[in-house]
Amino acid sequence: MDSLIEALADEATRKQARTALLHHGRDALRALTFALGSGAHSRLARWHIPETLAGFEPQRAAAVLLSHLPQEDDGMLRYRSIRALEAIMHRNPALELDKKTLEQAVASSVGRAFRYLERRLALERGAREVPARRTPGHELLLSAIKGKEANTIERLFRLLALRYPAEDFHQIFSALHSDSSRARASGQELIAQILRPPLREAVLALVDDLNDEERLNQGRAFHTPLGFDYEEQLDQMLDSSSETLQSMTVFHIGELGLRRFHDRIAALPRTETTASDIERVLSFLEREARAC
Amino acid sequence: MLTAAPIRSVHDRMLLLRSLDSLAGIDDAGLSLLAEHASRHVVVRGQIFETEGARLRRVNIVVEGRVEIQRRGRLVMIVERGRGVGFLSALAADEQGITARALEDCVMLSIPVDVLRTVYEENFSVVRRTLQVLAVSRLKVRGFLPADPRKPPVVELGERPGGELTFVQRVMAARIGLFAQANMDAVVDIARSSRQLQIPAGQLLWRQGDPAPTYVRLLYGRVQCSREGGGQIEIGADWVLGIFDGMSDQRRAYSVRALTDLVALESDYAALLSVFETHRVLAMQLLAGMARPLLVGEDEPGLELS
Repeated sequence: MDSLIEALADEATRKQARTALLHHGRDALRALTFALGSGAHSRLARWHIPETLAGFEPQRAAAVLLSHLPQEDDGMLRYRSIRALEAIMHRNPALELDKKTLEQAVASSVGRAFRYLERRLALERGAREVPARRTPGHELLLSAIKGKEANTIERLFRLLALRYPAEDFHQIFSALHSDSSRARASGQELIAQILRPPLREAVLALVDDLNDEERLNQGRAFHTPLGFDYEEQLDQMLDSSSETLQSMTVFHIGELGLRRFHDRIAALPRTETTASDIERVLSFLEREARAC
Repeated sequence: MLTAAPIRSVHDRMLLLRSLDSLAGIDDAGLSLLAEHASRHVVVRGQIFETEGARLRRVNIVVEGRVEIQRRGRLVMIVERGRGVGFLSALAADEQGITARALEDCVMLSIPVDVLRTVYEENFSVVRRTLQVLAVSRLKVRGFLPADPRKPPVVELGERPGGELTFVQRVMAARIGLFAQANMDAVVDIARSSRQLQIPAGQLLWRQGDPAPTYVRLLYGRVQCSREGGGQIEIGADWVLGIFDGMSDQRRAYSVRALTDLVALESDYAALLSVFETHRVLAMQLLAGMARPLLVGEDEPGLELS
């Protein structure tokens, strides 16, 4: 079964692997459920598990995908799980997804979006205060956080569409991104009608034209602002569950030569993604320390 | 002939679409989406059914007959059975549009452009097939080389990296061309799948006809790309090589030999496809970037992903 799951990584074998896994029925479903939550397979193979699961008995497949959503750290896998759930619902409109789990996933997405917003604000503010912080690594980090913020909001609307299947959240999302202020206002009005507090205020804050500080304030039910300064924010991002953000933070600390982070960085777990930047920055900070 | 029968139902249109070679590889869900929104469109010989001056509102798939496409007084192509009319213009979001004239009595399936965009959003096999068709066309225009030898690019040696690039440095290196403004998650996923290569001068990277599971981005050095019995061209740093081979599902179109020591990043094409599958906006930008030069008739020398 493991070989079949790994064969999902390769476009040349994916279709046959999917067919074979479907043929194995419950055993395959069990193996795929395990593989979705474990690191036993390549990322590429894992990315194709949600769509494969969508081919199984819809109620069970949806339950697996949904229960996995709130704890998945890989953004691509979260997105693909949501898309697979959308496909299942498209084919089985009468199917009912567990509302409580969906609401957890929605709340988790809202909290994540505000967390990214706060990180972005701390970095932007810090670079205004000390322009020397505006390095290529700073720009990269900022761009990564902006991207994650945008992705999280887009996925939030997909989750809302699953939670409220009678409402057209896809259309609302498009309206919110329209050039027409009238369409945007109409999208906001629909959100205000459909959602209840405190979710209503938080979702509206994520999509309306308030200034960023005010938006952050509106999301307090889902994320308590931590009020970090620049270096405190970098310190916090060293603990990010995203290895990408962690690596970019390490890289940026190296650019700024912040030697006080040496021991913090030395204590970080080395993974395939993070190891190279950790080692490079540690040796750079050690050289700097010796030179002083 | 299949087209002699009335094309009334979605099922009829689906059967018809399935019979077209150019749509091979699109799965049933994709064909069914196209069939659901397609309508039969008949034009008579000599009839001009699209006129330049505005964005296209529909594209057509020729089921029978031949169509001539012009843009700004230049012949873009003659479209025959199974091929699309207006797809390049629609993909490139071209404001100019095209002029399309039936060279014979034609039967076509007509699809509104906004529906086509939804189909691309919903079904990746359609994106995949379009990438194949466009990649083959782009390779043909360049004489199956990375750039047209009649318009050779400026060859830069680039700056040699000090050692093995870290993960973040690979992300920075991946932020070029199409990916410079792309969502960072997409860039990260591409960087994650890349490996650094150090290749000595004189070594072959690959031979024409080899399988093409990967593509490379040259960070430092110069290479010679050549085709048996065909042309050759020199390419330098910051170029991406071999990506259209993977896209077009073909073997290597040309051989590549290092003229100097090389430093390059090699990535799996399958990983890139997965990125496009997830980041559809990026996939649509890529399709637009690939379609535009074919539409305006000027192949852009430079990055294949620019």
